Amino acid sequence: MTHPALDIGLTHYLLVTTTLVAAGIATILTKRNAIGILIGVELVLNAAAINLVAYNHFAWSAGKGGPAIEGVMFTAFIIVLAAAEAAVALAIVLNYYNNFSSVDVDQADSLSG
Amino acid sequence: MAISCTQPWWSARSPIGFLDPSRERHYSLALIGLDPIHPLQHKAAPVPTLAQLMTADPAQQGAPLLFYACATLTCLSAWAIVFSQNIVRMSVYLLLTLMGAAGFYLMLQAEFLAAVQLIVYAGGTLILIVFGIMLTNKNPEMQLRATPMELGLGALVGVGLAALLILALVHTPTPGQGFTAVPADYQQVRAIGRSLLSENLVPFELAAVLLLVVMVGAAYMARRRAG
Repeated sequence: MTHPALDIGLTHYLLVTTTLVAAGIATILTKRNAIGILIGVELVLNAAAINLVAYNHFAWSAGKGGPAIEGVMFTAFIIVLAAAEAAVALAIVLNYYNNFSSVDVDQADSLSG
Repeated sequence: MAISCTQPWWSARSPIGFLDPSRERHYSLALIGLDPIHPLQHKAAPVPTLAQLMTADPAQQGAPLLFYACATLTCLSAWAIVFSQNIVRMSVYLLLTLMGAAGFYLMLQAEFLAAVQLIVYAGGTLILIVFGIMLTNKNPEMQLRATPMELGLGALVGVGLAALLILALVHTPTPGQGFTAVPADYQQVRAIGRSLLSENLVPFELAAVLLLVVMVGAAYMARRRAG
């Protein structure tokens, strides 16, 4: 019997991405800089993407009889959407900075009653 | 890696109660080489040597040591983002995390994704973030610090979430034994291209439209208004 640490399986990848998603959530919660929050969102997205590729790797596509491709496709779309989201979010942050001269999200309370 | 067992030793007080003894499953104790049923009575598997860690793993590209190097890089830099107060350092730590993720893609035989990750994420999204930092940093001495209470609370939520997810994860059966080696003549990029133009044609075209809309929208929103 080999040591389980030598036998990298799906669980190992899932444990890493769990740590990653927790770090992302903690980043989103603790940062006051709007760009810091964006970085936290990128961490969460990356954790989900690694999860999808790991499941894709360890699951054989039963229907087509070939290697699975769905997780890889999903991750490619995640990368596209993350780039689009970062562009729009940074445009919003720039607009906000032009109006408030700050990127502190706690100051964005103009709409609160 | 899967461990068969009949009855885990903590099943009576397991917070996640669905334990199906007939299924093979992973346990946290098994992950560190102990018997999940009788961790104290059974001898653990011998501790792996460095030579073993550097031997290629049949279930992935490369040796287990590579996986652990990438895992350390990814997790440490991700948590460094949480505890860093300097936004420029945070972006550098994000770069390290993204490179670790690219390493995982390589080990998971998704070479195309690893390249895309480095080109689009590390080369595009991260540059965008660095530009955002530069454009919104008129007075560099101003630092947005979270109060120690906020930081502690956020870290607590993060660690609690990680603990909960890991607890659920090690109780969930995973298809660890289902791995089958990819045939030697398999070309993943060809499969991705075929998939993009057949099953995923509509998402592909939608992504193209989305990128156009995002480009126009971001340029419109970020422009400097007169007066």
